[in-house]
Amino acid sequence: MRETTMASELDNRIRVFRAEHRMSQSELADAIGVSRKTISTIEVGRFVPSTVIALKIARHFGVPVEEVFSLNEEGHTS
Amino acid sequence: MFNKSESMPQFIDRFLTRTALGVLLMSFAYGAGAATYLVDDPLHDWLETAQLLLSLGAVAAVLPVFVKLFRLRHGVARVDCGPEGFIAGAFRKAGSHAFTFAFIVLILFEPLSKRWLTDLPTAFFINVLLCLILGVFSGGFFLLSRDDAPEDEFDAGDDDGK
Repeated sequence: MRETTMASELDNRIRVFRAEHRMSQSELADAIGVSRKTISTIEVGRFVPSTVIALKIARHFGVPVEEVFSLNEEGHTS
Repeated sequence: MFNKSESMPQFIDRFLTRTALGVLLMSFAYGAGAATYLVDDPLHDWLETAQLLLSLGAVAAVLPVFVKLFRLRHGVARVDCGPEGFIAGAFRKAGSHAFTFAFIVLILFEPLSKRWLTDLPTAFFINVLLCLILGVFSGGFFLLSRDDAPEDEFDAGDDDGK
């Protein structure tokens, strides 16, 4: 339950960046040292990545981490 | 060291999945062990054999990947396992759930063993406890790590060379 709530609060644009770079999930996974399943579950919001993975993804695409990940304000309930 | 098509993170995922499979088999083995205290002779022998086979199956499931991981991590060319991925997260979460579940079962067993099931030995309760904890762990892991994410759409096959 908590995982679902956390995941819905975190938006990501990995898929967009992958499309721009014409990159498969496996290629991105190999580039940052995780499995393809990790990338696919991050993309659909099922897995909230660690700071290390988030920073590695952002560095790989050459953008700040805020451009890849952002808080979903609609899903956030304070 | 490992399949050419398999990266280190993929191997770690496989290692954790095989470990969970081994834990599931051990759960069944302890279940069979607990059942031996409740049945008579012909079935008792059969359950003991099943327990032995399940234990051997667990070792066979885990040992090859464990040896491979040990060689990779402590060999001449040490390999970095990388950051914690989805499967490792599911493994850790399943362990946490099983640990919590263990306390609940122990609290339930305390009055049960003192008031109602007094004629059963301590070994029976230990076997049942281990069966339940390991079952919750492995079941939780397979539930948490099930893959329903969509497949990749940007294949390297139509790569234009960038």
